[in-house]
Amino acid sequence: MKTADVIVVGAGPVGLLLAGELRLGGVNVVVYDKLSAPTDESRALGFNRRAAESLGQRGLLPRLGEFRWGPMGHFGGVRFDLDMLDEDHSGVLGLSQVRTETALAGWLADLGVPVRRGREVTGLREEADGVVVSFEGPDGPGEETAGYLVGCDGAGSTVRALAGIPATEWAATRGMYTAEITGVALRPRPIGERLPGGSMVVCTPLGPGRFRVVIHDLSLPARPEPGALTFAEVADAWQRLTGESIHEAQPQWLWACGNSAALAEEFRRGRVLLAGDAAHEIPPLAAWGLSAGLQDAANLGWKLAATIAGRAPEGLLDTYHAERHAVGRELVRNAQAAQKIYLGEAAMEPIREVMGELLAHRDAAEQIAGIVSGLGIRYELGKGDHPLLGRRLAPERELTLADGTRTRVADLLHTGHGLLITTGQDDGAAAHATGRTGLDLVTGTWTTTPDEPLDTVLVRPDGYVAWTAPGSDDDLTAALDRWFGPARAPRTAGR
Amino acid sequence: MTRDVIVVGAGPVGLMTAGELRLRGVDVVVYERLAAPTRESRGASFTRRTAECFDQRGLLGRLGATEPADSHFGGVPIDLRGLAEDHHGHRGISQFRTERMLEEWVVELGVPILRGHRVTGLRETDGGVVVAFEGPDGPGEDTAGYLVGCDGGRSTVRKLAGIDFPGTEGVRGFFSADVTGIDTRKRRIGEDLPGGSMVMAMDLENGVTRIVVHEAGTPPRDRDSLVFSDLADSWQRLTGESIHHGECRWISCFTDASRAAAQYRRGRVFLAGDSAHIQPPAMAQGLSVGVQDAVNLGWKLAATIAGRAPEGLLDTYHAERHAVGEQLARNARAAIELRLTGADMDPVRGIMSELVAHRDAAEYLAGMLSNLGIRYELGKGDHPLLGRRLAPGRELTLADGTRTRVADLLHTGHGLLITTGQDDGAAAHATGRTGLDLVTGTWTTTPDEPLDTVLVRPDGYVAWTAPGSDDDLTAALDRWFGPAARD
Repeated sequence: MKTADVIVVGAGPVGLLLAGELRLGGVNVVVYDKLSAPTDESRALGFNRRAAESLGQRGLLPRLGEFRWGPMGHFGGVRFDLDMLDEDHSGVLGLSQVRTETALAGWLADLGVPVRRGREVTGLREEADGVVVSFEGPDGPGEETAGYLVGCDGAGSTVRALAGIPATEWAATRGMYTAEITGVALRPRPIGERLPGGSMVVCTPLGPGRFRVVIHDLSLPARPEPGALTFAEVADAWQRLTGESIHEAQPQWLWACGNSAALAEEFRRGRVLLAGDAAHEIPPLAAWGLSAGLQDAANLGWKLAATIAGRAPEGLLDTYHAERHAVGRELVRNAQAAQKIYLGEAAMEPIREVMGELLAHRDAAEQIAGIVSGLGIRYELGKGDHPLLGRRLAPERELTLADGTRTRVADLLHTGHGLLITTGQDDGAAAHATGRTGLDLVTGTWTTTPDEPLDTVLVRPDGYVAWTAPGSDDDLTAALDRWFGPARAPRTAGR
Repeated sequence: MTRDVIVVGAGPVGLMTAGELRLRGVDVVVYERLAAPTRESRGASFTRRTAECFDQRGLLGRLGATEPADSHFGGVPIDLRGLAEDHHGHRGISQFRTERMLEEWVVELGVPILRGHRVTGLRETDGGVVVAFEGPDGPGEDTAGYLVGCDGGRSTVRKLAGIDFPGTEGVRGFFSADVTGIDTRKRRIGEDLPGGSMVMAMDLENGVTRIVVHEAGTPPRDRDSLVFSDLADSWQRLTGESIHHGECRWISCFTDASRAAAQYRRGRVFLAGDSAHIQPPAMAQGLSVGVQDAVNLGWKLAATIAGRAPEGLLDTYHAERHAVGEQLARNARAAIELRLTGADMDPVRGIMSELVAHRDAAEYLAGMLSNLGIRYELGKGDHPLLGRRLAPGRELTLADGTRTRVADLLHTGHGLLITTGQDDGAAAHATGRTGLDLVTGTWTTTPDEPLDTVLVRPDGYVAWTAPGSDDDLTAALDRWFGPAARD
């Protein structure tokens, strides 16, 4: 018997955001996590602009507490100037992943989503209308049946393996050590310091007397034994490379990993879906992996919710793979490029210089800034010549409503619905929106006149622009049908 | 016998240097180690700016037909369409043809080319340089005011002058050969193979195919033990095709070493071309930059010898060209790493392609490779042309209605003060300056930026503009052409 619409495996940021997105869409969802308690590992320190916007669109940023926006102005250590760009590409810096997970867990608790801890998935079997998931739980083995299963269970995903989804894999060629330490004072090297022989040390201040140190060195094991790293090894390596001793520091967290990468060939197979590191694994790099994972969740949630509610147009769920697999492939490519540029030996220096000179040009800098921030993403959402088609509508864009109040696009998206925003230039548009579930009609005027005319815009629940007037070649009804399903016939009085 | 200048090396750079000097009245002689011109083809193309340098002396027409060459950076194609300027190079011209053309020109100008003269020593005296040589008739000595070493990457002049040649050692070895009687598929800009190998095959003239091979992991080779069958074996391993039956006309090898001389001038000794900078061959950069060295040096050295050079003019040769040489070496290293590193460089190549898909970035990179992007520090001001070359294709309509191109006005090797009548005062400044021609006319096509008056050096670079320059015209004229002669 089906007891849940969706089981999400993994209570990391991606699984938590996805569960929230689904619940917002009316889905009966449960989260499993194999750990019996939340981890205190700080891991990714923040996320990029678009991931932050994805959280902002659901009103989640205040739940994060105090945090700092800062420039993510380098690619593999090659700097570029974010100030010359029209848009703000800065990201959230120095925010421990623990805090992100705590904030999202609080949101899920408010939404009433159960998180089953200590549950490790051991098997799955797809049936005609659902997936039977076997697990080992705190009370022994069990089974649960759900309509769909989403693996947000990280690199080396169990769900991916059980579903038999193949992945393209790149073996690790070098390793890195990470430690968070207190009780010493170190010279900060926030974007890293390159040392002879292809080594690199990074030192990021995290607060008074607290630092994260990262060591890249060709002598480190490319496939380190998980959990076997000792602080003495980290401190020895640090001293060998920098001449500084951190042996007296107190380690708060240790981590060793290689630079392997993997990309699942299918982000969906039948009733099983993958998101986050389970779908795309990259070497740790300025929170790129987490940022992409959060955007996977924002892309998948509303599509899966509409499918479960029976109102999804044909093929909607498959657009998840189409849109996000392409992003995942780019992510792997970009991470490998950045790592090669970042950690490459002296022979790479001329390439770094040329790249730096190319990035002095605005459009080239915008291209790279868009990769790092996620603002550069453009999905194939429909033909037309409006520059916003397929791109995200900036969530801080403001509308003045008929009653004179001002509202941001981000605020309008809190419900998780799509938006049809008309500015009164196109009276016909509103009529098309009636009878569509999960779509809100908004009428107002842009508080600041957009660079390109934008009389009417259709925004998907994930904040991406699916249709514009002027601009789109298709008609609005076709776009609405494509993303929100056909309109229901209006109820007739007296029936 | 005492000469003004001895140029060592009768390759394109030496010949160009000699021609530029002779054009300005210098008594110059060229020494060449080889007894007869080589039939080696070597560089088979040159960049846009080098073609412009030939054009500025009326030499482009002598070369005959060429084909446009596309641009790439380490195998990353650069789309030249839609850029503000045409950055295409010229290809399909063997170095032999270029040398023959230049040799005819310098011989017409009356420059002696002494073949079979190998420089063996040099010693600087108060007023000149004493050069010792081995000639066809035995050893000898000659004295000149200046010595210019255009004698290639392993320059004797550079070594004798004790000039350092810092840079990177070669780690990769390449074969290069000109072969006839083969019908291999052409790979004009080269084909990158898995693991960092590459093969190139391009048509030269008369059925000759230029072959270049690098097999990943192959270190630099010994130049004296090259055999065609080794190259053909390597070619077959990489492509599966046999070219063993071909007839090898010329075989050579090179490495990916790149170096730039620490000093382009030491006292009375100068370096130009490969003697001043070496880099792995790509995009005809070596030959092209060398020819531009010659064009930069010629008029400065001529003015110095004539006694009318302003203080410091001769030192601007190193200041301007050393920076270009270092950039050349840097770019060559970047390009070779991009191209000949294995699959782990693919992502970086992908990123580079995306960057050069943007017009401004493409124009910048194309500008480095075509050399049209060169900007010297020639004076302060905000005109975009300051320090850059004035496009030689730019047309003026003169007072009598005739139309002329900037290139044609530069054939004499003089500088130009071009006024368009908006600034009557400018003309007065030009009188009493040797080596400067005053031209009055109107631009046939209105320039993007106002250009009422422009001072062009003999090498085609813009030293002063109105509007635009902060300095006054007299200061600019004094700086580049020396003070006006008193009546």
